[in-house]
Amino acid sequence: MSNDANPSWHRKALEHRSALFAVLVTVGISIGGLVEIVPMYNIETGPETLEGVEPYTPLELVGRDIYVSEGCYNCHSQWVRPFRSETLRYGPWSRAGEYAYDHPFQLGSRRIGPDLMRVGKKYPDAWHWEHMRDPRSTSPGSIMPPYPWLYEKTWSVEDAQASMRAMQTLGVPYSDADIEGAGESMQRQSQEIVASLAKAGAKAQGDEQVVALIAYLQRLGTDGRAAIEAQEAAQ
Amino acid sequence: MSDNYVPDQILGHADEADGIEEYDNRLPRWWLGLFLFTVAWSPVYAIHYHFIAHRSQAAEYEAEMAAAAERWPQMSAEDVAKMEVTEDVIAEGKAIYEANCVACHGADLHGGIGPDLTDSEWIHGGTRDDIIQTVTNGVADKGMPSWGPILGPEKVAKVAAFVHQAGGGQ
Amino acid sequence: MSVEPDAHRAQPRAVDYDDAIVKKFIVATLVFGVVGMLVGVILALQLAWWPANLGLEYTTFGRLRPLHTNAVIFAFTGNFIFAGIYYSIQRLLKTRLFSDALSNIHFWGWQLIILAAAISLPMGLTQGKEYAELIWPIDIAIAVIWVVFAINFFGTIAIRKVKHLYVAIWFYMSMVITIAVLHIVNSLAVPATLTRSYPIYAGMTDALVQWWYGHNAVGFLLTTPILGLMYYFLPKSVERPVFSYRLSIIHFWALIFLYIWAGPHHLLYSALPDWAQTLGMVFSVMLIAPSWGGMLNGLLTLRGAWDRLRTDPIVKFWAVAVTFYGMSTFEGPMMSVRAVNSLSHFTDWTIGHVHSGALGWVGMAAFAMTYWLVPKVWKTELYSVKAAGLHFWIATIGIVLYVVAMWAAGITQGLMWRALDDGGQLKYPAFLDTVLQLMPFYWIRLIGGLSYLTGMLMCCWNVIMTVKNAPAGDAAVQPAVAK
Repeated sequence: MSNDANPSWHRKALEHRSALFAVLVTVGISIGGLVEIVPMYNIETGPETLEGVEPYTPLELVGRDIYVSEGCYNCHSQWVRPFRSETLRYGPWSRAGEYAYDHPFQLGSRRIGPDLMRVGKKYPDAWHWEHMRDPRSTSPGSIMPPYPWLYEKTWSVEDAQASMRAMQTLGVPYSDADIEGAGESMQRQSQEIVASLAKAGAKAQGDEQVVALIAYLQRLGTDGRAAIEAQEAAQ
Repeated sequence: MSDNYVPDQILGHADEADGIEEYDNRLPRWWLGLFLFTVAWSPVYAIHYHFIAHRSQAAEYEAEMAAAAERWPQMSAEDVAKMEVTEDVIAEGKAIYEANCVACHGADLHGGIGPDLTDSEWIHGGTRDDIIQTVTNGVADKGMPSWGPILGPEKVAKVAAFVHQAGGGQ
Repeated sequence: MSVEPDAHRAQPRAVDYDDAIVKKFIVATLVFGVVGMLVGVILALQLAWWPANLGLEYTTFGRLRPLHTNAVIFAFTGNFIFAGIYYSIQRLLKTRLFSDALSNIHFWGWQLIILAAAISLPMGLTQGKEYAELIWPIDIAIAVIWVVFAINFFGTIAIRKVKHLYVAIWFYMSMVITIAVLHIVNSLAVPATLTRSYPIYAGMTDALVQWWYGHNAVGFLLTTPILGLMYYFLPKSVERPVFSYRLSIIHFWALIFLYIWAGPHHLLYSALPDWAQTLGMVFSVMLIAPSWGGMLNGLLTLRGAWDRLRTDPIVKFWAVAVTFYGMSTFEGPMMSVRAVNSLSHFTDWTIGHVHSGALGWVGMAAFAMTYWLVPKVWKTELYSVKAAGLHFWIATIGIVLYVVAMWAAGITQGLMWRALDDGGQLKYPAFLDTVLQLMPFYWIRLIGGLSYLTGMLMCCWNVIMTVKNAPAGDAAVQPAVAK
C-alpha cells in the first residue's frame, strides 16, 4: 500500500512531470488512430477499388453539394449492408470502390428514410420531381419535409467549376478540359432531364437546383451496380 | 498488494488536491477479472475470425444467400416460363409490387407518375407475357426503368402475375 | 450543502482565484443547454408530425439536426466543461489561471463560434460530416480558440503551486490534447469557396477518419473531461475520499489508450476492410472495464454518503449520472458486437444509446456541478433545494421515457427490416411501413424530451433566483451576461 511516505511509481515518476505526462497521453491516444488510418493508404490493406466507377459529372457534383447542404444524410444512408434482407430491399451491397470519388463520404448513420445507395435509375426523373416538392404525392404517409425552394433556387456553372477545381486538387480525375467544358456538360445533362420531365408533363427550365439533385440521385450506385454485375458475370 | 492490506486508508494527497482525500483500495476482483477477460478474449476472437475460421463479411453474405437458395429454391428459366399462377405466387408478387412499384403506380394500382394499371387500357399490351416484357425491359421513353436486371426473371414473373390479376389483364 | 467544504483544508485560501470566468461559462452552459435541448424537442416533434418542419428551408430536420448535435455537444457540454475545469484547476493547482486575457478570449471566441454555427447550419452551410459539420472558416476559428484554451490550461499547470497533478487534471489533459488532434485531422479539407470545402480523404477513408473523430468526440469531450469533473466535484459534494487511487491510474490509462481504437464500430458491415471492423469491435469490448472503473470510483466514493441520497439533490444527480455512465458504457460495447450491431445499426436504438449517455451522464453531471458550483462562485445559498429535487425527478423520468421509447422503436424497426415471410421474401417490403410503426414511440420520446427540457428550465430559474440573492458586490457584473 502506498502513502505519502511511500508514494506509488505513478506518483514518483509522472504526476509531477506535467510535460512528460502530456507526451505520454499524446502517444497513448495516437497509436490507435495511426494503426487504423495509415493502412487505408496501402493497396493491400486499404479499401478495395472497383473498376468502372467514374467521377460525377459537373451537374451531379452540384447536386451532391445540395444533398450535403440539405443534410439528407441525417435521414438517408448510402450503405447497403451485406445481408440478404438488405440486398432484397435495395440491391447489391456496397463496395468500397464505389465511394472512391466521395468527398465527403455520405454513408449516413440512421435510416429515418430508406437507403439511397441504389436509388439511381430506380424511379423516373418525374418521380423525384414530384417527390421533392411533395413527398406524400408519391409516398403516401411519408414523414419527409417538402423542398419547394429547390425549384426556385438555381445552380451555377461557376459553383460547379470551383468544386471541380477543389476535387482536382484532391486527385479526382477531372481534366482542365472537363472543368472548361462544365457549362456545356451541365446544359446538356439538365436539358435531358427537362426533356424526360416534359414527357411526364412536368415543366422545368433546367437551371433549378432540384434538377441537379435529380441528376445526382439518378447516378447514385449505378456505376457500382454495373461494375458488380460485370464482376459477378465474369466469375 | 501486500498481505497486511487494510481497506479505506487515506493516502494523504489531499493537500495537493484541494482537500480531496483518496483511498488506495484494491481493484475490485470482479472488475479486474472482467478487464483481463476482455483483454484476453479480444485477440482470441480476432485471430479466430481472420486466421483460423477465415471469416469475412463477403463470405458470410455468400453463405446466407446459399442457405436461402436452398431453403427457398430459385426457379429455373424454364420453370419461370411455365409457372402456374397460384395464390402464393400472387401474394409474393404483391410483396414485390409493394416494395418496388407503388412509388409510381400507387398502392391501389391506380397510377400516379406511372399509368393506371386497373383501367382497360394496356399501353404496352395486357397479357401476362406482355407485362413481363414491359417490366423486364422498362419503357425508357416514359421513365419506366428496366426491372429485369434488378428483380430477376422469377420476381418479374411473379409481380407480373399479380399485376395481371389485380389489374384485370387480358 | 451548507457545509463549508474548505473547512478542513490545510492552508487558508490565499490565492485570488478568477471566478468571473467561471460564472460566464456557467451562464453560457445554461443558455445553450436550453437552446440545444429546445432544438432537440423540435426535431422530435418533426419526426412525429412532419408539418413541424414549417415549410422553411432553414427549419427542416436535415438542417436543424446538426444544429442540435453541435449545440448540445460543443455549446452546452463545452461550456459546462470549461466552467468546471476553470473552477477546479485553480483550486487543485493553487494558482489563478495563467492569463485572464486568454480566459476571456477563450470565452468570447467560443461563444462567437457557437453563434456562427447557429447562423450557418440552418443556412445549409455544412461540411456534411456528423458532429463536424461546421464550415472551414469556423473550423479554423475552433482550432485557434482551442489552442488559446490549451495555452491557458498548460500555462496554469506550469505556474502551479503544488507538485503533483490530481487525477482530475489527467482527464482534463487528455481532452485538451485529443480534441485538438481529432479536430485538426478530421477537418483537413480543400476549400472550393468561402463556405464550401471537401475533406482530403475519400470514401471509406473519409468514413474511417470521421468515425475515429466522431467516436472520440464522445470519448474525449463527453467522457474523459466529465470524469475529470466527477473526480473533483463528486468528492467535494459528498465530502468523502475517492474510493481508489490505483483504480484511477489504471482506468485512466486504459481508457484513453483503448478509446481511440473503437471508431470503426460505427462502420460494422460497411465497405470498411474487415480487419478494421474487427479492431473497432474488440477495442469496444475491452472498453467496458476501463469505463466501469470510472463508474466504480464514482459510486464507491458515495459510500458513506448514501443517507444524503435522500435529501441532497446534488448527490442524487451524481448517483444517477454515474449509473447512466455505467449503463451506456455497457450498452455501447454490446452494440459494437457484430451480431448485435446488425440489428441495432441504422435504428433508433443508437439514438437511445446516445441520449442515455448525453441526458443521463453528461446532463445529470452538469446539473450536479451547477447546483454545487453556482452557490460557491456567487457566495450564497442555492435558492431552492426543493426545486432542484423536483428537477432531478422530472429529468430522470424524462430520460427513462426517452430511452425506453427509443429501445422499443429501434428493436421494432430493426426486426421489421429483416423480417421474412414464409416464401423467404421481405415481410415488410414497403420501407414506409417500418417508419409509420414508430409513431407512438416518437410521441413518447417527445414527452421524455419535453420533461428533460422542463427540468433544464427549472434549473435556469433556480440559478437566476440564486444569483439575484447573492451579495451585491459579486453579482454586479453578472446580469449583463445573463441576458
